Amino acid sequence: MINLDGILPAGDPLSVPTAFRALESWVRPLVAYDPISLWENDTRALPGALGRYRRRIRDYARTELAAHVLEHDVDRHDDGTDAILAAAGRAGLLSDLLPWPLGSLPWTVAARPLGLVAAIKMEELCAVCGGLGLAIGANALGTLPLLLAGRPGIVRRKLLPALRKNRRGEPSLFAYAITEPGAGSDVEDGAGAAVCRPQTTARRTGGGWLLNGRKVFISGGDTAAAVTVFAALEGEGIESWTCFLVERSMKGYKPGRNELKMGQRASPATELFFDDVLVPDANVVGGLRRGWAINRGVLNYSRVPVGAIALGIARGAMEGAIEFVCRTKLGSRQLIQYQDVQLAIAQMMIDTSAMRAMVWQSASSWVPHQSRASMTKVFCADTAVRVCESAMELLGDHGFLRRNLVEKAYRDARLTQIYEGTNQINRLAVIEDQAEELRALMEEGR
Amino acid sequence: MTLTHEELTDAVAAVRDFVRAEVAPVSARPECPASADEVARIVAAAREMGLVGADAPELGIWASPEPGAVELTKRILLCTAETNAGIACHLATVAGGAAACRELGFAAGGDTVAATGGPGRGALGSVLGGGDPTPEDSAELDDLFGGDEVLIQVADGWSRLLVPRFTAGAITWELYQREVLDAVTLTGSHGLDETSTWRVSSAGAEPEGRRADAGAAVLCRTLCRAAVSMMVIATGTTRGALARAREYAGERRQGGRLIRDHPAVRLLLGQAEVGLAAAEALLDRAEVAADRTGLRHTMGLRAAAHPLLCRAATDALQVFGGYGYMRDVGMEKILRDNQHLRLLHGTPREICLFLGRQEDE
Repeated sequence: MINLDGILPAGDPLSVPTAFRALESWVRPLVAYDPISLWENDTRALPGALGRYRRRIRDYARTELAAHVLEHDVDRHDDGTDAILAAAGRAGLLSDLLPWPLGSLPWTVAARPLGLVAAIKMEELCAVCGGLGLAIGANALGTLPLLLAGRPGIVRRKLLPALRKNRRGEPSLFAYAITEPGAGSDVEDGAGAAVCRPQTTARRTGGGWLLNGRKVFISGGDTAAAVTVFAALEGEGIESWTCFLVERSMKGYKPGRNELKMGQRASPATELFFDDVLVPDANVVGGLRRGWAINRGVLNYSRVPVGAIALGIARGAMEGAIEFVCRTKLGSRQLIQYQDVQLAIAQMMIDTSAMRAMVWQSASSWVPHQSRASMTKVFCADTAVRVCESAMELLGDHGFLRRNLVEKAYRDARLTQIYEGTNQINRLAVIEDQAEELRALMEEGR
Repeated sequence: MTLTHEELTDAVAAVRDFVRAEVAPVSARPECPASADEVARIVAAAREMGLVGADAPELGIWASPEPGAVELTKRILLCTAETNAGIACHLATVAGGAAACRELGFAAGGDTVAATGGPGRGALGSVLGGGDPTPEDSAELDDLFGGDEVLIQVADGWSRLLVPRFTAGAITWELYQREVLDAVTLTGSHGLDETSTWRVSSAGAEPEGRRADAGAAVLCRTLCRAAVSMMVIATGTTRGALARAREYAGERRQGGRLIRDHPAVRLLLGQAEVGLAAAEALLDRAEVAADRTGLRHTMGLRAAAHPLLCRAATDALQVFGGYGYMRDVGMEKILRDNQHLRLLHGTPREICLFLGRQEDE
């Protein structure tokens, strides 16, 4: 076994494994040295079913996605990811993240908080590719309004048939549409929303609603079979926001161009047009004027998985850097033999472990908590960008080469500081959530 | 070369005209980078204007290592990089190659690239200081300067490669014609879209010429020129980014008011301005030196500047929200360019290792 400079070999009397063996046999288990990886250590700490789920998703990402990463990191993505999505559907990745027995998860996994399941899934997928991970994961975001609608009928009529199709390998995906050309942060922040005039509106007509307007930056909007669209009722403000389920076959609905993005390119961000789209009453999700509440609920559910996306991307960059420094030589030694390189790798391990601890803790309750969701998203996004920068720097003049993937990880990670509310908006969401306590302190300070 | 204030002002005005006429039109759509042909046309125009050239240009990029010429170079590259970092990088590269050729006494002839890479892990310091390298240093120097393969970042159209070698305890230089080299472009780089990353192999190739005299001094100057180029181009792109972010913040409304009136956005703009101002102050002090002490000084300034500039560029992008992430808006290109410039010719951590090693001596 090759030695690692500065680290005692395992057989040395002063090495930890050898030193521990000198202890009394009944003490040894208390200080056991177990030469397993951090990933393995974390996985074993999970309840058995979740640990097995984590292994399964990692294996899936490595065997099914890894070979396609570069081919989908392209400017124009019109050929889509149909084959990948079909395979993901057959593997149950487009019909999970639903309460048992609706989804495709075994009950042993579905009995755990679904936020934690989502976090594990998104980390593993995004460790291989942030874009492909998002392409697969965005479907769950689109379905969330239906679950928060509190109307089992729409789940039975609209969601379950789509899930069955997904399981057959015929993707029938949902997308989530809130952002408008003139309203990005305003639809993610209460104070902004209070003065926002939404441009996508719904007008009453016989048997339903006529939708008009435009949404932008909609993940998976190009191929979605159905979109949960938020629109203000005619003549009213965002307080009237209502969620409508728009189906691809509806006349007047048209996906526009896919944006040219810096990263996460495998998941298109699409412009959607609504021109007198007749949406029947049965497709009103959760009742009139409940859109804002549903939206804020969805964001609380979705922000921790965004933290997990950032974590996965950072881990992918770290793994790429580790592989590089272990195989690349300078001055007759592999780079990992240099102490400063060991320090940099250790810092990446510290950063990603801290991110995972935060993600798993925030995701471990059944009901998401706004402050924790936003804090997790902000911390993970910022840390991921830092880890990716560090990985690029470790690779030196190989760090900017696309084929080494760490520069792609940086491009992918940068989006996590923007979507699901910019990190600035998420920081304000933390304050909003703590407003009562702050107001009380202000009262005391009068 | 000493330029009066008026001469410098006139020269910069001429460069601004050049950038407006030649560089801006091919930079209008950031998602469609200038092609190799377009870059070649710009280089031809720059040569005609005297900005670059194999013969010593009077008012060109890297005309000489004198402070006045370095100041002029900074102004020219700043101006160009505010509009297009990739083109500025290419001009700096071929001008730097021409300067090294002049210093080594090679005859003019086509666009030359000096393949210096970065400072490595510190062994270079021992050679530049005239000391005897340890066996470990020699192994590192062999890797840095003895290999057949180098990576260079330049647009197509280059015709010669200048390579430093570490032989018999000293730095020598070899000049190769491109035809004898095996050069391939590596598909896809992070930024500087108007250029390509080339892997160039000189295995089995015979150099056109060799120079041993003043090899270390030319290496110091070449590394300094690369360092200043990277700094100044990143400073230029960041100036452009901040100007655009300010403009956008004065147009975009959220929460019922212009986003420039939101403290969250003001903070981003302010942070970017602080970073840019600090980097500009560092850039002012950067010089082209022929010795280890001067190289150390300029390298240190560069290592401090790039993280500031990358941070400023990312703050400027953040002002745009989702639009900042879209390629046709151009902010993400600036961030990619800055990240790429941070890594070229030595990363901040490599520079720190280089400086830290010299501190010990």
